[in-house]
Amino acid sequence: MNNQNRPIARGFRGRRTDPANRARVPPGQHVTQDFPVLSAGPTPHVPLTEWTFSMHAGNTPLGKWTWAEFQDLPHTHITVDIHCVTKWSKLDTVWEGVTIDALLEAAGLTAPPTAHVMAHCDGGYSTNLPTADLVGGRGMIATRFADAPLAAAHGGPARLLVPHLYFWKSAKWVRSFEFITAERPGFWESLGYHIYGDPWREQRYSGD
Amino acid sequence: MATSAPPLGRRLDWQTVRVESTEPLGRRARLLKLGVTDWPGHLPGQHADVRLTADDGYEAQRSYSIASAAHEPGVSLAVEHVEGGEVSPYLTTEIRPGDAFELRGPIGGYFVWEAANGGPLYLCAGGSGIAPFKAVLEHRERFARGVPTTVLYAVRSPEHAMFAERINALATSDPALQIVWTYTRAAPKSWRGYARRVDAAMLRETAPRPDARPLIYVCGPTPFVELVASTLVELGYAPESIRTERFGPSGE
Amino acid sequence: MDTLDANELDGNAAAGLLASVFVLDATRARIVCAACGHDAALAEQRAFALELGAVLRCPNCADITVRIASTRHGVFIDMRGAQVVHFV
Repeated sequence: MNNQNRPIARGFRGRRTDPANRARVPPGQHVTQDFPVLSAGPTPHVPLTEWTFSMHAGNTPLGKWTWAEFQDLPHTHITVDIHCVTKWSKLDTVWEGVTIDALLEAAGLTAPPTAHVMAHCDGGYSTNLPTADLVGGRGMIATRFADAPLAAAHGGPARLLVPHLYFWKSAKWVRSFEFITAERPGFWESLGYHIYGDPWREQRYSGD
Repeated sequence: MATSAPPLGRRLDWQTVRVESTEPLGRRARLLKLGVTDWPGHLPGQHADVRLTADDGYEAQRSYSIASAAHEPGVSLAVEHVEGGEVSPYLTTEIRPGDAFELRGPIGGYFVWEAANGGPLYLCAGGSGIAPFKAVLEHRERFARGVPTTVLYAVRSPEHAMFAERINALATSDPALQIVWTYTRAAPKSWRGYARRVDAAMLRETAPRPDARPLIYVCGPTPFVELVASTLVELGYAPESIRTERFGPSGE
Repeated sequence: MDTLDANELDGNAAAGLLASVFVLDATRARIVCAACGHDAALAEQRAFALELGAVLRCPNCADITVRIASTRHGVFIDMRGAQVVHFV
């Protein structure tokens, strides 16, 4: 299914703009000023009084926080570029949340208990990640975007943020981490999308 | 379920089509007449996918209803210009006769009405949701004149209307066909008809009574379709008598 | 009831993708939801994430009935959420 023999739609460019610094954008991506919404289901609306975030490995609970308790964890600001597998990238997005490092520390852990994690979300979505990609400041549970509470359509009250991987890995409405020893594919990863999803190596699909 | 849909016999693939001509549809939309070489014929209400590929390989895909009558040769797509859209501005302002893109169709056998399905028929369109009904009405004109039919067409303003002349002309010569307009933002001067969003009272006043067991088709943006379909169920119409087709907020 | 998303459509929107796989028209196929038993046409399923593939959900309970993705390595279909898919 290559597109080399396709007719070119003369003069078609879409909504794309050329980035000032092309090297900043992964191959095949274009820059958007919008923040497109792409969800696998209806937007859930869980009251903050009922929201919790938990971590477990097998049957062993490792930590659980209510919304109020989560707010008391140390928060971090980051400014990052994000890259969606549908080919848009958004530059200099500003997030605030709790790093996975801080979560592990709050749970009394010095390191992730396993090599992999499955993130589970309201609405049944899931995504798998190597735990190495979440620590060292590379992953957080984000609750604020652009100095405002994260909108429900964008994953609020809380979403996973792992900006160095394609954005489907930054799961919206995240509610728990299941630490697993053997890698297992999540929602899109089990349907032909890449198990790891590095935008700089253009790992869009399984087999890329 | 009665149908005359021909078995396709093969999987559908993309084909290259050329624009033969374009013409304005009201002031906001454009009708693209396409030259197709491999077309099995379509049914009233079906749609097609359009895929545009830029010279650097970037691609975008959208679906559009087939507005041309099924019994006439050729394929025409109705495209409404959506401000800030990606594909519809190209198709309504940039594309010229002779240009090529890819088409996959005809598709969808669910949102189809044919003469054999009978009536009475109640068609509710929001915005460019009128396009599949234009094909339905021309099919009806040719093969099922006399089937009692009401079209409720909600548009923002007269300039947003598509196929207004054609639809009004069909109704003028046919007492069994009634077109009811509602203008949701701006009505013509001295307009005495509906000038508001579709609501329960409007549906009650325009639809055949539930005991007449009308076949109901609703096409438009998702919020429009949700509102119309759920209100019709509340008014006593059987859910299985209501067929729906939703398109995006941009409609592009 | 969950809220209506701006990008929510219905199974009609997956018709082209499905027609690239199935010889029979899939939008008219009846889907029996594995979660709640509701019987509805594929065209009547709620549809999400169409830029990535299609996630079809039961119009009664919103559980996933069918997932489809088309990648450059083929078309993937998961029908675990459908007890029965009845092509008519």
